[in-house]
Amino acid sequence: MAEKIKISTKKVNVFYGDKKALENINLEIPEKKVTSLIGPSGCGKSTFIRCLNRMNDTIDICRIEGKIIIDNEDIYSKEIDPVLLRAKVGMVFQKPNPFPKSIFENVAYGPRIHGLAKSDDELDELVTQSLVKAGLFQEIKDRIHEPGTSLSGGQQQRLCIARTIAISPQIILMDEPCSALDPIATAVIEELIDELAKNFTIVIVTHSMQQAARVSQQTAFFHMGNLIEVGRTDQIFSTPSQKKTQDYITGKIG
Amino acid sequence: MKEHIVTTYDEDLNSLKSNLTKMGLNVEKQIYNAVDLTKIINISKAKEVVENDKDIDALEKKIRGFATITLSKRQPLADDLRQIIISLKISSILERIGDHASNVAGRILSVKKAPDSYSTDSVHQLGLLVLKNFSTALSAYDQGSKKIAQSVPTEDITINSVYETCFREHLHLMMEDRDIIGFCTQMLFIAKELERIGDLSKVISKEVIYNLQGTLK
Repeated sequence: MAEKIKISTKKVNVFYGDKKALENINLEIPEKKVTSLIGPSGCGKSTFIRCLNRMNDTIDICRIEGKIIIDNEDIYSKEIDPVLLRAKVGMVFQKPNPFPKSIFENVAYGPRIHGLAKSDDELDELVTQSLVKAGLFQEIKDRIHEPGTSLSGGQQQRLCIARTIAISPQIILMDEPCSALDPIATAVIEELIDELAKNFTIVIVTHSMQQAARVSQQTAFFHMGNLIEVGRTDQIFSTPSQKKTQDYITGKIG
Repeated sequence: MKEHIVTTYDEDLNSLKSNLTKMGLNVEKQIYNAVDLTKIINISKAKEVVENDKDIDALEKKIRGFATITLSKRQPLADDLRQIIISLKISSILERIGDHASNVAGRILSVKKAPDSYSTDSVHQLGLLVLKNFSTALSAYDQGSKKIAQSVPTEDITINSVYETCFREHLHLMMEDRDIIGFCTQMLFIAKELERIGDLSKVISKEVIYNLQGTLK
């Protein structure tokens, strides 16, 4: 692929105590494209995505070897502040997890602690813009001060996306963002992913092969801690080169 | 084939394949009878061939319906997806071949009987080659064999040259004997129908190769 590489991992090994969760992962993630990570439960794809913004730092027994380079910087080097890293690399989780605050406060929280708005007007504008980009504003503009938890599941997930993009990250990690949503809410999120990919680099973990085929340009298949195959999404889902990939995507006994 | 975790998925794909094979065998029988008619004209047999074309059309509709349901139910990928796509394509090609066989019988019905002075069997010989190459394409599909599939286009080159020879021969016959121009014209149309079956057999073989290697190259 000729695109600019945003994230590059080199010989990454991850251990939980003595157990090796990921082995020798070399993966390049192109900028402003959607990369999906697929594979059976326990294959290491969530572990991998959590390495990209150092979420695994919070797990004491987790140890990481190798290099993860974002914009030519090793994110595990001593100079990197994980808090600033996570502002640059945002994350959306499987279950929508809005703060127990108003819709407005959910989105305003990040910009406030990072000092991204100079005045209340600027903050209002930033919150509104984030909600617009997340495709939620039209639906909730009259109840922006109601609790975030009063929204439907799909709306809550878009609120979490608005909260993520409010602090202008460059990368958005999504860990099964639609698995708790109905097909309509899923379609709205997928439409949003297409839109977001114009400005953000997106890495999405999904268990839906069809979703990976629909939303991403690059797909990586993980199996038992190994990166088995990575390639253009259309190629992976039509003519995978590895037998393990073929068996997994077609639902055959591996 | 490796089994899917969901047993009914295997059953769906196997059922699709057996229906397509059944359709192929029906078409093969139609070509066999049509080719036979080019040697010995038999009105009741010709009517039968025309009549049987309905069964082939019905099988195509059945396969299309079945493939559509399987697509929506399983949302297949990779080789599974290709298998369904080629089922749709091959069934539609088989339906066309069935039409050509039926057209041969239709023309036989319109000529009723061969003139005494018509002595060549070149159209019949062409038909035998076409039948054989169709059967080869069908077994390439049935056995999933690239090697067998690759032999089909090569054989079709021979068929085309036999067709050309047959065409020229009939022009000569018509120049020599004006009384058989009507009959020879019908035989030329029949030869053209057979030659088309040859082309379509080649298309089937290409679909088989696509299914096996995953690209149209």
